[in-house]
Amino acid sequence: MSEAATHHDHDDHGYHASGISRWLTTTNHKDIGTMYLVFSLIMFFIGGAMAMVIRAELFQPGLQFVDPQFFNSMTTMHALVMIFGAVMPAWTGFANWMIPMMIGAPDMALPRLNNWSSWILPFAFTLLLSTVFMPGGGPAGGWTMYPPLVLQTGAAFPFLIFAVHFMGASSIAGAINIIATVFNMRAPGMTLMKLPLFVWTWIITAFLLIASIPVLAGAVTMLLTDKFFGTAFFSAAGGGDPVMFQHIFWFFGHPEVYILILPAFGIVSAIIPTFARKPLFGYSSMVYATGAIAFLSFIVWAHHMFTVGMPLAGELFFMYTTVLIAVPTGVKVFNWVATMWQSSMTFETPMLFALAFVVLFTIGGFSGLMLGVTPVDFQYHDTYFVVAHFHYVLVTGAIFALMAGTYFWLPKWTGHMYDEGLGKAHFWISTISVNVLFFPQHFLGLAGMPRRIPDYSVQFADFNMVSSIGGFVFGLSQLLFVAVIVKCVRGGAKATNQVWEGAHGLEWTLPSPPPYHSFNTPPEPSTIEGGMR
Amino acid sequence: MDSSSMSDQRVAQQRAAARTAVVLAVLAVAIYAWVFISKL
Repeated sequence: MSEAATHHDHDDHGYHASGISRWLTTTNHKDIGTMYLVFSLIMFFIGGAMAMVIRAELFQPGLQFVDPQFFNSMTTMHALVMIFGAVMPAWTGFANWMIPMMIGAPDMALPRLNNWSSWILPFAFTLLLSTVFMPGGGPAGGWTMYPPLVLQTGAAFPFLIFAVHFMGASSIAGAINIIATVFNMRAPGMTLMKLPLFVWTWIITAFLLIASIPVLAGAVTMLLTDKFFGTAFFSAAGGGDPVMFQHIFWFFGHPEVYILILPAFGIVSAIIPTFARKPLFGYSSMVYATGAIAFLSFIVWAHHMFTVGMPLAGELFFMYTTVLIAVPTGVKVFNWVATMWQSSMTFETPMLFALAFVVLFTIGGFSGLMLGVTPVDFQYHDTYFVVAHFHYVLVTGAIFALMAGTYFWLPKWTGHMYDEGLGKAHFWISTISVNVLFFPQHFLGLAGMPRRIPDYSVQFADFNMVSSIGGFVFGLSQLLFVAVIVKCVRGGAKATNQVWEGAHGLEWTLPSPPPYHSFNTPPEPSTIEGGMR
Repeated sequence: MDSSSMSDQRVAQQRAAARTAVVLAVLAVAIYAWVFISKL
């Protein structure tokens, strides 16, 4: 442990308040990272409770517990809460905690902006969640907010629009901060091609955010003016075009998918080499594949709306670009497998979640390829097959990577080893139940069950019951995740600086837990390794 | 590296970061405005 890494500079952010003031006023990247992660975990359970309502209602055919309006608001809010409240803030939390330590910087480049972007989120979600208690209930037209349906939303409508604006402002501020930090605050010797892949995937994610979130903001502003200020952007009666909203929305929406998953690629690319005890296979190809995926994400949007009625040339273009994404994604999966080839692997909880990610995310990728083929999509569109597809990508993809990352870095953050037995129990129960939950939904979709309905024909009853049982077990098993985190924060075996035998990188040279201010003096260039992750 | 040159380097980094942030913020606002105005 060098003096440089632990040096406390009391002229620069040396003072920190205690109690609630510490969290309200903090500009420290570790504190803000913790706030993002705690917020994200709370949203994960709120969104999860909504999913439980959905699966309880779908346990049997017929209307059991909630009326259709409330059911539709649950599907809408579940998506908004999980995407904007759980997954995106969790990635920003990881970025805040890890990027400065990974690049040898003392903090994020813009610490006050950092505080602001984190504290916007509780206000945004208070606005959004409060709509459930309003006359007419919460927004129920789907998270995609298609007009004219969404314009029928009651008192909740302006709250929905302003909440989306706030979430967007927070995301853009976070993205700007990450780019400014990585481009300007790297330690001497930390060249771009020596950056850990988690940092690379986050830079590319941040550019996606800056390019796509303003498009969403523009679209929802137009919805607002259509509703309240007499414009007719999306009203056919006034000369507008409702399909145009879908084009604008998905121009944001598809890059958004990669915003949710690229940092997962970065985490998995850190974990697999650590537990395989080998350098990552094909580091530079990983960087270029990530860039290629990001570029392609901007020219595939209309695959979400093949059935809307497009010229054949348009359908072909969007089909070809969509299946082209399989190439850089295949490069990544190949590299992860090649890293493990003939390695000395051990299977601690982070590695188990990372391996499950590789297998199960790839299943989601394959069903995505099926949906990308235009004539096939005409059959699958708006069925449970789509629900199964994106939950494999986002739950066993993004959420599993978040869990892998949490187990991987929790000893670094807390200074204690987590309970490996509880962690493995969490992994196995989650992995089995999540497949019981989502795999039958492929069959339901192929058999023709539409998505976003509270009731269904009796021939879908058996698979729905199986899916709901998987859902309840998966939901309850996440309490184990909280138990592991709380137990680890409160105590446990002392974690070493390196924590994992095969871990490499600047963050592992710091003590566990790291000091409140780290790398006030940059690390020696000789301590910077390249290409490992 | 002595502390004064360290501090100079930090100030330079902060200024460069602020410039990067302004450029990116202008880009985000321009995209937002373009989406809205191009459909008027």
